[in-house]
Amino acid sequence: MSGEPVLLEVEDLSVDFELRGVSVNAIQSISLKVSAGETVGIVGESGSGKSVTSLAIMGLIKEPGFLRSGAVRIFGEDMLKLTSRQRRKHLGSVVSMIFQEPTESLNPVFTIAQQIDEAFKAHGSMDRAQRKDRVLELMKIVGMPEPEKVLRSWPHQLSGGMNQRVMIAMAIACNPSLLIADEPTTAVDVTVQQQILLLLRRLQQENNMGMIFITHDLSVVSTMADKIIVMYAGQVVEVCDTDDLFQLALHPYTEALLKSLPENYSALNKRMDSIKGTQPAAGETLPGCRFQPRCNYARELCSQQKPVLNVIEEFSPREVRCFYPLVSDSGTT
Amino acid sequence: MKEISPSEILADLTPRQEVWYKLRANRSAMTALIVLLLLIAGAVLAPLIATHDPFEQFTDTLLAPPYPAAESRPGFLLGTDDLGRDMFSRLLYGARYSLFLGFAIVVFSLVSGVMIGAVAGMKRGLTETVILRLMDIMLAVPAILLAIVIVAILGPSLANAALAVSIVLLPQFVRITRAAVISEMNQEYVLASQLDGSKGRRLFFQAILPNISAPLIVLATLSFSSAILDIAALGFLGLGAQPPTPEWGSLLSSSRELIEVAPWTVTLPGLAILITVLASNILGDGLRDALDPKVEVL
Amino acid sequence: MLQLLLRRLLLVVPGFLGVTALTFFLIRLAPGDPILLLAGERGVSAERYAELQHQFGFDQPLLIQFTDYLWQVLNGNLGTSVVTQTPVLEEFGKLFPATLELAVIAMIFATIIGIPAGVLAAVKRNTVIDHSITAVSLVGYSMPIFWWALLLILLFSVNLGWMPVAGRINFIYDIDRVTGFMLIDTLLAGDKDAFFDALHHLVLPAIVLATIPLAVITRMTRSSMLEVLKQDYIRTARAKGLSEFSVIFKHALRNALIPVITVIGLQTSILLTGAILTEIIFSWPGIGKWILEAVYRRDYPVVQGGVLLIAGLVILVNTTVDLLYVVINPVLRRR
Repeated sequence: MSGEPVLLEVEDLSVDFELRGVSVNAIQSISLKVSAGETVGIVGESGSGKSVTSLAIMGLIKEPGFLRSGAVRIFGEDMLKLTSRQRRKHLGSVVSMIFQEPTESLNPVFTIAQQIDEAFKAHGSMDRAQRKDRVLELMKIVGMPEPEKVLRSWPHQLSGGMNQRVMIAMAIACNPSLLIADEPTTAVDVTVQQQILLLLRRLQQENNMGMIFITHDLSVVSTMADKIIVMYAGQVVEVCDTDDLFQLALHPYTEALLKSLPENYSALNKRMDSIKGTQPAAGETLPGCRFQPRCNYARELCSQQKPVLNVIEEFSPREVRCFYPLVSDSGTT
Repeated sequence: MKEISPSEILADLTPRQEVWYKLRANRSAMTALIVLLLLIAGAVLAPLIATHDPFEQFTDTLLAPPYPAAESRPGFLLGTDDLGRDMFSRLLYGARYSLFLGFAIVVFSLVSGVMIGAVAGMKRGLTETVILRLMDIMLAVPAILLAIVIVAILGPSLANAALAVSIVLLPQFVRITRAAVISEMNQEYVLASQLDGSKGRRLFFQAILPNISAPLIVLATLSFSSAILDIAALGFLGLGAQPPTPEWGSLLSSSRELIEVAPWTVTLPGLAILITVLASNILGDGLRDALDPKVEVL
Repeated sequence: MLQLLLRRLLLVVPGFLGVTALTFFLIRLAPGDPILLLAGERGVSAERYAELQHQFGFDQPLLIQFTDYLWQVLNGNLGTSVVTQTPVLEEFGKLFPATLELAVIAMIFATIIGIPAGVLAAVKRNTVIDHSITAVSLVGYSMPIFWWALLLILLFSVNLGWMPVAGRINFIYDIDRVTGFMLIDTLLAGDKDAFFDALHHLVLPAIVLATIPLAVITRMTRSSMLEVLKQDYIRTARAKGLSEFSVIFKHALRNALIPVITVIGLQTSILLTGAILTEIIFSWPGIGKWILEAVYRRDYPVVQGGVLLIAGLVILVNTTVDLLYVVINPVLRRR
């Protein structure tokens, strides 16, 4: 999205987990950019580090997690260099986050009204009456049926879909510039999923918000994101515009992911491809490429050296972490 | 986001090995275990280790303080009491009473509690309700009070005190067993076993019991602590061990009036109780953590 | 919710009946002739014996005896002490405030110190602070409290002379009994010195009595806090930009305290157990000491009535706590 201001710039972000003296790498050298109005999708399996990345951006990594390196610049200001107090001013007001399990993510002993009201109290100076109006208004914005009734309820009394709307309301309460959505529809009924996605889309357009959309589901991200980052085993392996990615994947892992989509079920071969093997266990360090054990195209170099993220000019803007990225004609590197 | 744990290290261990591994990693639990073993050894070997006969009165060494005080007497490591009896030997023999009784009480409560609880959990219906109500009533009376009353009825003696404490500790075992049995009865392996022809006692002992052993083990260890404290309390109140039996609680009772002139007769027996119960509790906590599959290992 | 409350209340009835049955049978299990035990008389003539037999209803079938007993209990007649010849219920009423005062002070002490200690240990998990707090509370409930009482007496009364050893108040003060609570009565009498003296006498027994509940509350709060802090909604609270103080004391503690409150309530039974031992050591004139001395003196009506009253009290408190729990925890309300 050229022309739009860059909201978020993540540079070389790495997080380790320390467990009784053993240091385990969770994410390594993650970099990304999000502009106003743009949606960046982060795709990967469970354990690929997508959630850790989002929490690191928010500055919410706590023990036993440790930030090893990196910068997270929001409007140019590095969040990681701020004190927690300073950072807290941004959380919920400049950058907000919604999570995967909406009912679990809401405090069971407070009513919905209390929890949304809190978002205003933390970042604003409206009086009680103003807040009350705003809260009701938010309920309507997120399309909540029977808003007054919902506001008086407790989270366990509402469905997952309704609670996710509540979370979204809390997140956009203070008009954030950036919204991070961590698997927002994974735990929600299929019928409601579409509604939530449409809601997010609409809110983004209305407020020109930047959005990071994290998911393991390629079909969902294809409808939501402008640009896609594919993560594997804690690293970024491919960065690409959405349309380009679905035309042609350059990293073997991405290709395998695309092939395993139900819609790519090969009627001819009558089988669904799945990717053999599993991600390396955390802490397992390989001398070469992290995907090499499961890669269909692996060659000798792949198990000996670690590939870096390269920019592929011909398919700009693309980045791939592979010695032998796949190109449409056979095998030429 | 789930926490990452090096699961491959544990992947090769059987559940039993895993428990032992986790326990070994818990240093305080291991220390507690060693302390308890030492205490048990001391109690068992008391006749060999004790410096004197615990009942013998040495009339020319009354109220001698322990080493390294100025007026301490040679040979009487921890001093003597008002009748000239050696504290060290009395404490050592006292360990026999406390530890042995503790075990006996726990075994009795465990076995009967599990039996009753199993019946309640498997039979359900009226039997279950009656048993539960009975246990609730027993729990409504404060532990010591119930024990005191039982002893009052049966007459004060160490054996009656032990019986009283066993009865007092019974309800906990019944409840846990019943709850565990009920939740296990719905599991598939039980249904499978029943289809196989198992029922009643066989079903319980072979199929269910091994799976509910974890909370029972923890409760047993913690009940051991309670048992020791309760026996000591009854001894202190004169309702348990009778003089001159050197049970730790009754040692405290007889030395209460000596508190100003011979404080060691008060501090030492209590310290012995404290150390034993502390070790037992730490071990119980450690066992609970080790047996809980949700607790992270590293 | 009302249904739930009613059901819980209804459970009190069989509990109470059961306890009454228990005490009823106790007297018949005691060694010696129950009639003589209840009358406290020895060497009676055959005539007198028949009189007593009829008086206590022993010539009736067992079930009638029980229903009679039950009826008497419900009417407030729990027998008469063979030692003092006063009705059991009356003696209980006179002595109960002393125990209650001690128990309340002890509980307040245990809660005020226990909850913050537990929170601190949870928030500073695995640091020296956490280990110290955990260690101290572990020692706290591994200690025989009668020994702990003696130690404190040794240190503070005998060696330092700071604290009195026995009783509720120095005998030089003659305070009118209004409520039975020494702290209140001294204030009502306008005697400031007496008030502080009463407070002075409360310190050691309250500390001793509070020790076990303190340890339990600390542990419970700590583990409950740790569980709560792992929850998703805590992460959300942080993501909203709330201060750490707000996260811990508003979001976490409210949830963490729910199980702790039930524990506090259930400690009544423990407190009464502790009271017996504490009162006897500090010569505190409460029901603990009363019942224990009744056991020593074979004053069976008192033992029987006392157990009934104490157990009834425990059932009452437990039921109240259960009901309170339903009210506090929104998850258990309307479904």
